[in-house]
Amino acid sequence: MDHIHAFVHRLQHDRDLRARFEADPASVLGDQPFSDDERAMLDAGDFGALGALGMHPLAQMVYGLARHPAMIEQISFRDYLGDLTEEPR
Amino acid sequence: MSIVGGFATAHIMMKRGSAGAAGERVFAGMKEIGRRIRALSPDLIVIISSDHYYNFRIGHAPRVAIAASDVLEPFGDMQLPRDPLPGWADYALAFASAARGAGLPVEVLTDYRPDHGVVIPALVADPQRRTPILPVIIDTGGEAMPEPREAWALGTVLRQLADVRPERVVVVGTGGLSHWLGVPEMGRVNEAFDRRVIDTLIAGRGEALTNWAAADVRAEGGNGGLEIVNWVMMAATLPGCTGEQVYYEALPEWVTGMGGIELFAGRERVAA
Repeated sequence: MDHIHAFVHRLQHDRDLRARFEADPASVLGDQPFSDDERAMLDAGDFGALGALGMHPLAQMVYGLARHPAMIEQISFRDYLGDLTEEPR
Repeated sequence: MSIVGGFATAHIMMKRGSAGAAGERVFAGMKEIGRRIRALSPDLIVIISSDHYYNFRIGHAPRVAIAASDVLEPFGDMQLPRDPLPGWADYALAFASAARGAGLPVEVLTDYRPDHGVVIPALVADPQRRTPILPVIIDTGGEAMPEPREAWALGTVLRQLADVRPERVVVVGTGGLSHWLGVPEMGRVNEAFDRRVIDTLIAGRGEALTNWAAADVRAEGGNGGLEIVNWVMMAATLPGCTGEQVYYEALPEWVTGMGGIELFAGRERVAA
């Protein structure tokens, strides 16, 4: 599992890899040293599959955001920021 | 000076509007905590949080890390701004030295990048980013779970350090309350657990939480609920001090119990 967690970590820190993954996840997964089963579950990318894979719960969150970028809208803080900056000092 | 205030708060918010009025009450509570922090005019805000594996690789994270940097560049997760936050490297190094002197292993980070667990509390406390922050990161997601008694010991060291320095320090424990992430129970909220944690702390009895084992906390509060050790460390900086709940909502929509409290410096519990 450490090899998968290492890949998830790289997705956070390597902007080029992240961009390529978001554009074509199957291709990027195909380049990784994963088994066919691992690749299929990572490509599915739902929590059930990632959990079955044995991925750490927090890695599931991080990976889920990379695999399904639209998820960011569900955990965005953006709409609160304006209210905070108007708070009294 | 010393510790002039202690707070605890959730460190995440989901999409605005997705939890209706309850979500707005949580945000109102967070803003109230921010106002109270600013009213204390702190020179330093210590933020105790968790890394959500943005900085660390799973299985390779230090048990406790202290960010020693004068400028902290946020990761930008959760669509948070990447504008830098002021840190205080010298204070962080003094704390790390004191912790090690007390036999508590801590790692010093000079390249730590705050994720939402630090950035949201920091912006709530000081939206103008003027007051230095000192992030303390406890690996609550690690396989070797941090024990509440370890967090208490670390908080005690921080209090002792603050007692002999001139700065006004506010401490904010963040995260929690009960939540289960990436496991079949995801979505469950244990309100009874959440209220027990809050009631124990605001009664000035935070040290009683050190009788809990981390495994028990995780069983009752979920794998994410172990973040209450961040609250326990905060409580140790104001031992015996009472406080009040600022907000609480059980929010299955956000898969967590969301709570915030203040402990009042100098308002010690009266023994029964």
